[in-house]
Amino acid sequence: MLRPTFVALSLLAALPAAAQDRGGLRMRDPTAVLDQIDANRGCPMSSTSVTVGLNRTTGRGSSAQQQLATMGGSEPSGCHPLVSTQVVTGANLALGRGSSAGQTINAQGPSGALATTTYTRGYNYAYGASSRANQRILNLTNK
Amino acid sequence: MSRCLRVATFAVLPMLWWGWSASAESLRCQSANGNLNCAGSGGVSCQTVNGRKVCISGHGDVIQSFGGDQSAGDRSMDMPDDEGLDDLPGVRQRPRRQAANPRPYPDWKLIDRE
Repeated sequence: MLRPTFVALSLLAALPAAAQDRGGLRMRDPTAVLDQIDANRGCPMSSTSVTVGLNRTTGRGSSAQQQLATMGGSEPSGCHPLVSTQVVTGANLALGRGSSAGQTINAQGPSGALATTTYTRGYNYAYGASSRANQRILNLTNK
Repeated sequence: MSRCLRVATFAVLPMLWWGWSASAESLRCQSANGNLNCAGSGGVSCQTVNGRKVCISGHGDVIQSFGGDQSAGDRSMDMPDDEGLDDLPGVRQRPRRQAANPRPYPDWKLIDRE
């Protein structure tokens, strides 16, 4: 009677342990990662940038160009965020007949982050008759 | 469901903005990794996201994609800018569709605008 109970309890204890093994930071070189965390004392631990662009043309035959850039590296000297999050979204609308809309968004994250999450969304419309819409989005991380 | 709702929402917004009624025309949209690219009648729309370029025509007769990884979603990458991508000799160029078909892919949306 006790034996099956013991087996069941062991399984229940092992499952959460297995779950903890997944996710988190993959440590190829734990010493280097710990050193990097240790070297980041006094610095911001995370960095987040959000870049949003909206470009549109409404008039007949009109033209509009937009260029946006977000560069990482505004941290204090010698600091590297441990976690970086970059969000970039842009909407480029050529609504007028024969109009032309161009949009370029470049985002570059800070260097030296242990983990980076990027989120990129673009919405590009050549809605007007014979219109042109050109959208370029780069959401990159520095290694 | 939420994806369809988002596509429909962003397709309707320009119509509300424009405000006037036009003759029955169509707006062709393609969604790739959550990025939406639409072209109306006679329009041409090109979108480059992290090196992957997709061009579509409102007539539905020109659909091309250049470079990049189709399966790539949002991820960390260190990718060079693709300025002049179309002119590079080694660039992969994949004309994906060159026939007039309103719905060549499952992720295509054909929206009538009045």
